[in-house]
Amino acid sequence: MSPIDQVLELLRGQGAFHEPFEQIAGGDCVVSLEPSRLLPAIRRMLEAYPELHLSAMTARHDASGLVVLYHLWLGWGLSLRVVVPNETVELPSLLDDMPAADWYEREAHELYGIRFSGRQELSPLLTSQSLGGRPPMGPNRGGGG
Amino acid sequence: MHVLQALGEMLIFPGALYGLIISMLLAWLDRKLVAVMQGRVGPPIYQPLADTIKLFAKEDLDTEGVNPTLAGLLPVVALACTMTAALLVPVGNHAVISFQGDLVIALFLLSLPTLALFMAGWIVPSVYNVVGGNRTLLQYFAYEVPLLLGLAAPAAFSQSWRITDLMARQAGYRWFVLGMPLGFLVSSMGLIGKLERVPLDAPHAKAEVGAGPLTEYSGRKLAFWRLTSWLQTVVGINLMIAVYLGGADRMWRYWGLGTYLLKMLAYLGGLALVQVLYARYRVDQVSRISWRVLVPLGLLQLLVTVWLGA
Amino acid sequence: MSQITLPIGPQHPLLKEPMALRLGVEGERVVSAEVEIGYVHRGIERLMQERTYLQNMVVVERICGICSHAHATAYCQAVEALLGVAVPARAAAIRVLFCELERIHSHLLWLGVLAEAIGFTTIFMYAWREREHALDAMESISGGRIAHGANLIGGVRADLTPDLAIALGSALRTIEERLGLFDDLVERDRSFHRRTQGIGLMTLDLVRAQGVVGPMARASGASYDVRVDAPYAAYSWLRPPVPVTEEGDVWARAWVRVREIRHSLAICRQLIVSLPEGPLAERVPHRVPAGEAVIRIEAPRGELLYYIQSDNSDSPARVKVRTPTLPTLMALKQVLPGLQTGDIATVVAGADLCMACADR
Repeated sequence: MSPIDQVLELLRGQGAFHEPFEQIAGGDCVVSLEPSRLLPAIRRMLEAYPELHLSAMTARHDASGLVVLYHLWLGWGLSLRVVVPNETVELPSLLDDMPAADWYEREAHELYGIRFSGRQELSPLLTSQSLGGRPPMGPNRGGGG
Repeated sequence: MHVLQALGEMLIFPGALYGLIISMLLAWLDRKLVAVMQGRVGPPIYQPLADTIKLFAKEDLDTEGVNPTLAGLLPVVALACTMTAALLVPVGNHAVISFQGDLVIALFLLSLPTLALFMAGWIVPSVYNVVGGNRTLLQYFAYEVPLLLGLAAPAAFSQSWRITDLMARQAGYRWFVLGMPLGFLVSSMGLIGKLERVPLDAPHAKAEVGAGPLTEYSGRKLAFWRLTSWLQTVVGINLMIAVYLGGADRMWRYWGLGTYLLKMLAYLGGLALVQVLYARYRVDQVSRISWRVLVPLGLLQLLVTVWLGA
Repeated sequence: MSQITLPIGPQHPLLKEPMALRLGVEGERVVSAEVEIGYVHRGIERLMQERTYLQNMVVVERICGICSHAHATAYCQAVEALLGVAVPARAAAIRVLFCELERIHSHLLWLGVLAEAIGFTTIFMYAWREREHALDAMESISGGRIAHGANLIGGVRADLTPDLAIALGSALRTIEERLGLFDDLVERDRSFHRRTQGIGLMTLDLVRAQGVVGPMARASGASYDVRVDAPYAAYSWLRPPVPVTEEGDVWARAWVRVREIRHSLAICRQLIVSLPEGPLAERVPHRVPAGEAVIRIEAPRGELLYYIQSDNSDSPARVKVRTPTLPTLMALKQVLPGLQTGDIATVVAGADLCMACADR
């Protein structure tokens, strides 16, 4: 089985995704997950691939709500896509299992208002405390334009 | 006449005026040599003078929480002590004041500015000043000892604590540096530490403590501190020349002063070379080098000198 | 002993760019560290949503002054991936030429900054003198020392003519001759060793946990280099050797970077000799179709990731930039406690931080 298939089996075993994976421009594979399955999937992957590397976390929004992408690298690129339908839904924090997620979660919270459960403070990373108000990016964004 | 002559020597040559001029010249030469060795052009000759004038023109801040009288007094005391020490150290063959024990007094006078510098850092409620001042004090303890030890060997050999005696003993090119090289190296390192030059400039390591004990100072006070530092360099070099390098030999008749100037340039060149070649010692390495290497070597030199002389 | 807070930044002689370190110090030892960034946050990602793809070429190059071409390359590759366009071989090679020249200048810059931080001003002067050759080379080809504007969507704008190739060759030779000095520094200079060996240890576990990339990671034993692990542009036929070592201290980071400079010089020479013929750019469609793209490249500091989402309009719907300094900063918070205060400057300067990249 190719490495991709192995990982997909692993994620499938988590009851993880509800669509087949897609390959996007640049070569990364994208797999969609339910928010509740994210943490178990990451843990399972870390067991199988201890050298799992979190390259980045992208937060964005589209018609389906807020979307968070976890860009992973295991010798090839895999992005996990999680949809957050509205601002009340919290994503599990990966801080305990992948400390590299720390600042990426802070940035996602600060710019998009995404909430992460299971971690203490989500202090702003980039903007000043005095910015206040609504997150500067995201559907109901504050600021100009 | 006697009084006029004394005043002239104290205030003009080789006293205050000459001291200030030569210290600015050597400060320029120092920077120029370092620049050339680093592949740069370096400042023009009037740079130290320009810096001093500029500083006098700048606002002299009264930092909040600092006793202004003390802050103003310390640099003046430091400069005054250094100028007094300059009177004891020979320029050429001639010291303005000379008496038995003047070597010790000169070193004592030279150590007071370092203590004043520590105090200048200590009285300012800013982290950089305090930490820099602490480092100055640490380095003071670490480097006055090798300086004194290194200078004690020639004194023991000559059985005199009078600088002009030490110079006279070296007449005929029997420079002490040839017979007591270890002492020369030890006291030179002590001098580098005392002058806070690289590699022993931890107290004002820009990347770590800003300007060290002088971080919050500006204007006239900072100008005085700079002048003190430059003058200390000159006095230190003169001291080393007098004690180790034979002072102003009479190589040819009337050329004593010429060789003296050459030695001054050579020693300054040596200091500049050391500055260019090495990275800065971390402050704990500074102590370690001093107590574990320099002081034992200095003691060794002293013992050897005494034993051979006895 | 009482604890004082040593503030380093946002403005401090040590820092080239603003950030705030709040270090709890007892005596001469750091016991706690807080790292705050955001002082040069310009809202680049939001800005890019309001500009067209073409206008963003200008924005992207100005995220960082040191690795501007890396950003430009990653951005162009992402857009080209969305467009389904492959750049011609000559363009890919010229992009790599700039990437490697940029790596050379960035590493020499870092070496100078580290030397200045440990009081070795001479090495600072020498390293930055050699860096000028690399910058002059980039300027003669593209017109800019940094922010070169060398890339187009679909290729490159500037060509390496035979005259320029000769001048470039001699510039590379000059740097290579003088590189021996920095080799000596790393291998033999005891005052350098005294200040960098055993300082600022970053274990492989910390590197893996925090996702540290680039020369910082390679100095601690992690061999991830995007040029080799996921080759892009001309790296598919150029095989740069990847220096890796395990000491994990500041000395190891210097060792890795000096080796990388040498390898980059070799790659540049190889490119001059075997530059493919062909056009400089492909014609690209005007509209970027809807889709997502993820691109990783090896910037001088490590893995640089660009994510672009397009909604079939003039402007990208989302551009995400993850720069390699971010995980280094996260790891720095763990490396600083336990240091002596005299080593703070060494470790911070030796971490090759680029706050403009981190803050965007």
